[in-house]
Amino acid sequence: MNKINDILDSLQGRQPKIKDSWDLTESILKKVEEQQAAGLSNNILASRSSQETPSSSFPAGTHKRKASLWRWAAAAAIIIAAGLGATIYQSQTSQQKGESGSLTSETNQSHLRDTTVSPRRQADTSARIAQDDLTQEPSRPVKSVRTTACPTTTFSKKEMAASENNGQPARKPRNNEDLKPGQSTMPAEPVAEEQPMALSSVPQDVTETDPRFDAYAHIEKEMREIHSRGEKVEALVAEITKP
Amino acid sequence: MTQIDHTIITRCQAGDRDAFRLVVERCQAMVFSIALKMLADEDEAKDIVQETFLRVWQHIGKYDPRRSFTTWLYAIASRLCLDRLRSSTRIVALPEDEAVMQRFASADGQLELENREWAAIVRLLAEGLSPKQHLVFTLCQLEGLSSQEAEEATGLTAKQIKSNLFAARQTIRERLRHMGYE
Repeated sequence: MNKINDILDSLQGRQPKIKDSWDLTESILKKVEEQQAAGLSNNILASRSSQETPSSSFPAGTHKRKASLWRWAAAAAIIIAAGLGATIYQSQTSQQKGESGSLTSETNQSHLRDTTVSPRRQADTSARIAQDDLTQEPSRPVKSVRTTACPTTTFSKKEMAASENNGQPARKPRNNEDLKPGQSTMPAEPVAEEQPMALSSVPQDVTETDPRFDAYAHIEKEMREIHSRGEKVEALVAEITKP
Repeated sequence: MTQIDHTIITRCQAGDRDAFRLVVERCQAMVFSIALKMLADEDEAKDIVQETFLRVWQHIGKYDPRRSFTTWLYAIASRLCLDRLRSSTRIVALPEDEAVMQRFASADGQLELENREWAAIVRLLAEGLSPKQHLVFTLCQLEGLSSQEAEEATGLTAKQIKSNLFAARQTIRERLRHMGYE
């Protein structure tokens, strides 16, 4: 038989056999009895409900009305409880928000404290400012200088030129990558002592009658002024860096 | 299709357990047949038989005597089988199932099939069918129900029965064609 239709037709109407050894009748009836004993059968439940008598003396509709009232009361109680809960939750949340706000402000303050300039750095900075503007009074208060807290501060070429010593060429500003945390582009130690300047710049062969004498004298005067300013700066630095 | 006398049903509705015993004895083979052909598993089929008759006993009071009792029985069993099919894994044919089919075909359909052979043939035929297609094929093709009886048993419309049966037959033909049948 190679025809598909024949195969399907020959399967039609055939019933598998239930072996005698496992006839299901008894087990099914046993389960039915168990159900009847448990009172789960619809027949039994139906008959019981039809035989039931009212347990109280209330009229038929009274139970329904009372049940309805109780339901409404329960619903109202749930709504009120939910509203109260929401109010309490809101107040607690707002309190917590206030607390967290004060914490934030404290954190900000601590951040400000962290950025306070160390004395050493203050000295470096004030020296740099003094070198930038030598005409100002040396007793300029250091307190006003507190804006260079960032450890990776880089300086402009002008600042670098002002910080160089011994007439060495100005160093190129280093990249932030080259700097370690806490390291500044300023020299770590105070500028080394300069060599004593030769104050007498007038050549010996130039006399007072020589027309070049005035020019040499002017240059000498200027050099003396510069030297005196340098001394003032050194004194200022020494005063500031004094422990 | 097994016919049950109306008086037996009436006695069952009155709570007569002897009448119910008669119903179980006469109809359990029919329920077992559809359950085995749907689930391809003997133990699960027996579970379905028990559950079906428990439902019958519970709801016999709601049975409408104007309808066919066996169709009502098919409806309960079909719903239970569909639930079991949907909750379990899909039916998959085993390699040895083809040998069973070949043996059945070579005997010109005269071979008396054991339950495990029935399960093998069902696995082979039903693999790839949706639960609904499987149910319609089982009722109409294997159990031999008419379209109207299948409609009552499944709750599907005539058009749905027709389309599901057509799709199931196409799938099965394709499968058997791959196995060398014409």
